[in-house]
Amino acid sequence: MIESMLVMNKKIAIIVFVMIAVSAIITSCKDKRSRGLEYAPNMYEPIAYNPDQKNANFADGKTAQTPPKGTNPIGFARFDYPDTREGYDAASLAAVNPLVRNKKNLVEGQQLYLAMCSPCHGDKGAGNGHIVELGKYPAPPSYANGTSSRGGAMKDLTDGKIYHTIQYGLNLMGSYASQLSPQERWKVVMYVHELQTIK
Amino acid sequence: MRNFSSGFKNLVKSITLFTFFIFSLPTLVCAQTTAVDTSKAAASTVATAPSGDAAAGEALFKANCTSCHALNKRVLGPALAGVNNRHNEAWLIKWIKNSPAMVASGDKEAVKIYEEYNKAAMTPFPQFSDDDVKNILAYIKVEGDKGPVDKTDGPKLPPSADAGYSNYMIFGLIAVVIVAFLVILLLNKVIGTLERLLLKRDNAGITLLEDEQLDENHQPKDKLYIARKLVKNKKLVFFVVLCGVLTLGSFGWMDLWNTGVQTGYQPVQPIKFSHQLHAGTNQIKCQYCHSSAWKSKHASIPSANVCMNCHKYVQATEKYNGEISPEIKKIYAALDYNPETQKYGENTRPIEWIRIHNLPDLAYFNHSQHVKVAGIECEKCHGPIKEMAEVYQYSPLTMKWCINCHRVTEVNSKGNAYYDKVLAAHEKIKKGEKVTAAVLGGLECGKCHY
Repeated sequence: MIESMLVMNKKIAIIVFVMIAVSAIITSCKDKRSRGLEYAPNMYEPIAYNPDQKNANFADGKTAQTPPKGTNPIGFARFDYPDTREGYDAASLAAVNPLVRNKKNLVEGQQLYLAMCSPCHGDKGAGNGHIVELGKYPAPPSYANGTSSRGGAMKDLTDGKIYHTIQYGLNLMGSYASQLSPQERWKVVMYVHELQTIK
Repeated sequence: MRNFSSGFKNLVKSITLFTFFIFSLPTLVCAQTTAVDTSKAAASTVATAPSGDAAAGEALFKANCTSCHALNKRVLGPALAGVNNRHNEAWLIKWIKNSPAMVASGDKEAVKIYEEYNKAAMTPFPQFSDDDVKNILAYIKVEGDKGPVDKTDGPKLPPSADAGYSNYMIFGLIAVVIVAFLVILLLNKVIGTLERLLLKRDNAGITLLEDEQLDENHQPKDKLYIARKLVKNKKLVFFVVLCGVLTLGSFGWMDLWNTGVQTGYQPVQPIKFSHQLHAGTNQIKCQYCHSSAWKSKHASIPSANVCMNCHKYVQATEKYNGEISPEIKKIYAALDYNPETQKYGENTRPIEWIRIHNLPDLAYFNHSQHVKVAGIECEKCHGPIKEMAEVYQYSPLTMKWCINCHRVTEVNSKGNAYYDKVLAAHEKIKKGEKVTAAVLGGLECGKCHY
């Protein structure tokens, strides 16, 4: 009897082992970490470099390189005011929005504003964006009623001041130069002027 | 002769035990994680009555100070809790009203702070009266003495996705157990019938068996005997082989169709970035980070400076006992950023994200054409991205998938100059006018001189 029990236990052990093995094999067929079966995978490995790919041709190993210093990409307008208080004041006096204020530009400005700025500044620029309301980020001043930390009312901010802040950031706001092209920045400036008038 | 039926009972017992173990495993793990989380006791002591009005100070503090200061954390300026003890009131009033002047005049304390905080001057607030400053200081004293507040309410939920075992594994195991159970049930019946058959045979040919039973071990001999009998049954062998061929064949066929299709691919990324949190809970628009989806072929992975727009301030310390989140630290490491001094170093190294959607170069896909021109929502192809704690490939990216969508999607030609000529040509056809090659761009240089 004991002998037969031992044989049974052995059998159970084997069955359990087989079950685990089978389940492991079955789940491995659907492994979400693997790219699965590929036929002629060289089609998936391009000869040309993708922008986010490693690249041994450059010293830092990246494909996406920043433009060399002192060069301008085609169609890129420079904004030659330094990231200082003096630069800010100079931009306020001299920089003017080169874009014509029309419906098309305003709609695009609004679209960009809603994606880039509204998480903190709020859809209407009142400084009550969703992140602020969640209590995850301090509130920025309202465009219509707030005061700037560099002095003056927010509703009096000029083209140059707003552009300067988008380009370089201020206090807890980072620079948006990498997310918005100069043209797009001016469209946002145009839309922010609209928000300054909301009472 | 062994009794298979009693053996089967034992087997059933063990399998039930095994299934029970499998089912109880996840609950056990969950129970352990919840048991570990005990809510912290919030120690709050009420401060002594300060001279100013804390309620009035709170409004002023939130309107003017929070863009650079927090009470218990260094932001751009120092953490303000305890500032009343570090400096006297008269000095603080002077500093808040015009700190650059104090630095310029060479006040020792002022210069020290100016140097420590990367020579970023604090904005002067000449519009404040002495009472305003006193109110703010009173608020800082009252709130600062309370200590860091635990923002999380109640015990934390156990992390469900990162528990270490996947749903696939569990369901796979359960399925295997059920299938095995059914197979055993079936086999037991077959064995019962065979046993009866064998017994009949044994009675008939006892002399034949006697020779074999002389060996010392009876049972293995019996087993082998049954196996031999089964192998001799040509119908059974044929049936088993047929089953095997059919199963393997159908699996093979399905796999052939799924070659190169990577739906559900979900690689482990270097940073546990959750779209569920960022795009879902925080409602940040896709284009905030993937801004080039509007203007380029690629949606692109944002560079780390985009992360820093928020994570210079957001460090999730409340979830990690006052420490910076280990995942946010990975951004800092990539940028060689020191959160203590808030300075960037030279030793940067890119975050090596793993590409999920691999469209081969034989197919051209342009994000801006779909997102900007056609105005298609990201979720249409990328699925419920706002619910993905970890991103996986939602769409198959097969040619059939592309074409099926192109077959039904209507073109919005309004306000799009690209379609002007095509539409004009169609108008001409409708009116019965001749449409020449020139109308369709046949005079363009590139048509011949390409």
